[in-house]
Amino acid sequence: MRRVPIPERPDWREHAARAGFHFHTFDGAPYWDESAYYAFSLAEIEEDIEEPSRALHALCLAFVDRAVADGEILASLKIPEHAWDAIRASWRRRDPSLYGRLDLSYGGTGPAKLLEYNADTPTALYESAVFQWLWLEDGLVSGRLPPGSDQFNALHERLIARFAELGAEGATPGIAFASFSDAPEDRGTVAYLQDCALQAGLAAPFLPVEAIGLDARGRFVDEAGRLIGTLFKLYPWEWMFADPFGRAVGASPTRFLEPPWKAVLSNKGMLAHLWAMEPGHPNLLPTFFEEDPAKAALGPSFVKKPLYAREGANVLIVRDGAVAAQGEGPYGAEGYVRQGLAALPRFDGHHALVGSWIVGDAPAGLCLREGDGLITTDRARFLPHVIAA
Amino acid sequence: MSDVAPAPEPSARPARFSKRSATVSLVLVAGAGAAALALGRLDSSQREEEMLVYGSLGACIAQQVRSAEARIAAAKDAQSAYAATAPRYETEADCQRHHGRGGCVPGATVTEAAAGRTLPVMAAFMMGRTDEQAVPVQPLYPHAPEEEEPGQAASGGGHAGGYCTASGGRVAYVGSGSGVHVAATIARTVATTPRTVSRGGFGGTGRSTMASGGHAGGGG
Repeated sequence: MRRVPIPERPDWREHAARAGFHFHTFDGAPYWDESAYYAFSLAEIEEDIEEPSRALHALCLAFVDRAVADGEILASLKIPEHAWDAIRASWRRRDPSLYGRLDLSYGGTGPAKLLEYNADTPTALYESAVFQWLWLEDGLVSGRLPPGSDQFNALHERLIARFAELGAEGATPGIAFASFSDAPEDRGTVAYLQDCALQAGLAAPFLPVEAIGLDARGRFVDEAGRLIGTLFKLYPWEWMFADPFGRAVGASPTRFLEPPWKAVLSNKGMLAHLWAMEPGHPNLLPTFFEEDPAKAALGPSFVKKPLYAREGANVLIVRDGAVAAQGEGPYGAEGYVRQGLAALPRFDGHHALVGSWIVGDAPAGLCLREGDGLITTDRARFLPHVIAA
Repeated sequence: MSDVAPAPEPSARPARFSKRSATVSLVLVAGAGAAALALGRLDSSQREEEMLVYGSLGACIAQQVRSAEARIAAAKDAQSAYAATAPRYETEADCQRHHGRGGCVPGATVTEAAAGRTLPVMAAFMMGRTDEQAVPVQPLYPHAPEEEEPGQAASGGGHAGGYCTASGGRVAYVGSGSGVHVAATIARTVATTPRTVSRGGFGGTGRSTMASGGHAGGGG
C-alpha cells in the first residue's frame, strides 16, 4: 500500500460535471482529491481487505441472529423497546439488505482492524462506484496511470445486479427512495441508487423523508396516497425509531432498505458484542461498553465512541492518558463504547481510512478517505485507488 | 441509453480477472437524466391529464366547456365526494398544519358523519376537460403545510401551496375555470373512504440533530 502523488487533471471538474458529480467540494474545500492516489497489491486487496470483510460481515450476521433473540443485547444497544418487534420480524423474514461499508484501519502491514460498520446509511457510494472508476479509465487511456492498473470496484455492477435480485424477489415493481432533499451529499447518493434501480428495470421515484405519509390503516404511503411497497431510506433507523412514525414500522406492510435489523449493526455497541463473541479475532479491536469494568484492560490508550453517531462526531481519542483528539457533535446521550486504539496509518502526513463496501453479503469494492486528524470527519477527502499491475 | 461510458476497449485490460465493473453507465445522474433529476421528474413514464378546476359549483355550471349534464353531474359528485371522503382530523390544529389557518371547518358543518372531527374546506374541485378522458371528479383542498409555506399558512387563504386531493396528491393552484395538467396517477387516484393520512412523522429527529451541530444529512 503506497500513496502516489500525481498532478490532478486540470479539467477534472468538467469531468465531474459531465458525470453528474456535484458534491465534489464541501464548504469551499475539496472533497474529491486526485492530487494523489493509493496503490495496493492484489494480495493486499484480496487477502487483507476482501476476505476479512467477507468474514466480518458474516460475523455481524451471526451477531444479529443472537441479538434478536436476546432482549438484554437490544437493551444494551439502547434500541427502544417499541422497535424490537420490527427488528425481530425483519430478521426472521430475512428481509434482504442492499449495502453497507466497513470502516477499517489498515496501512499495508498487519491485519485490517474493524473500526465500525456503517451498515445503515453509508454515503461516499457514487464517488466510489462511478467517479473513481472513471478516473482510472481516464488515467489508463491518457497514459497517466501504469498500464494494467486495476481497481477493487465492482460496485456499479453489483448494485444493479442486487436491485435486479430484489425486483425479482419482491412483489412490488418499484422502490421509493427517500432522504432529505436539501442535503446535497445524501440526495446525490440517493440519485445514484435510483439510477442503479432504473437500470435494473425497477421504477424508482424519490420522495422527501418528511413527505412519507401514514394512513388510517397503518400503512406508509407516498405523496399521492399510494402504498409504499419498498422504501429505501437514507435516514438512519435510530432517527426513524425516535420519530413519531417509528412506532408504525412493525405493523406496516412496507419493506425497508436497509431493513430494520441493520439497526443492530450500525450501532457502536455492536463492536463490544463482537469482541465478546470472538475475543482475539485478528480483525477486531478489543471493545467494551463504557459501563463495563473490563474496559480497564485497554489501559491508558483508547477511543471512546457514542453508540449512535456519524462522521466522527463526539469521538474521543485518548493516548497514554492524554486527550489526543476530540470530535464535536450532538451525540452521546445513549452512552459510549471504549475501543482499543488503532490509530489510522499515516502516509505523507495524512491519515488514511479504508472503507470496504459490502453489496448484498459480499465485498464489492473499496474507498479511501484521507484526513488531517486522527478522527475521520465529514471534512475528510476522497482519494482514488488502484491495484498495481 | 448511457450518458457516461468508456470508449470501446480504451485500456489494456489486465490478464488476470479484473476486480472492477466492466462498464459504468448512468441513465439518470448524468447527461439528459440529470436535467430530469433537477426538475424532480424521475418517473419518466408518468402521464398527465388535462383537468379543469372550479372554485365553486356555480362557476362550473356557468362555464360551458363540458356539456350541461356533465357540469351538473360533476358539481353534484364533488359535493357528495367532499362529504364522504374529505380527510378527517382529530383536532383543528392537526387540520391547520396541513391546510392552513382558515382552511378548516368543524366536521358537523359538512356531514353529521364527521361530527367531532375537523375537515378541510373544499377550496375547489377538478374534472377532466373531455368526456373521453373518463377521469373522476375530485374535490380539492387547500395545501398549506406549516413547514413548507410558513407565511402563507399563517396568514391563511394563500395559494402558494396549491391544492391537494383527498389522497394527498398535489395539484398546482390555478384560478377558477382554468385548465391545469395533473399527473395521471393523482387525477385517477380517488379516495373511497375518508383518508386520515398524517405526514411529517419522519424527519424530525434528523432535523433537530442536524440543527444542534450534527453532520448535514442522514448519511455517513
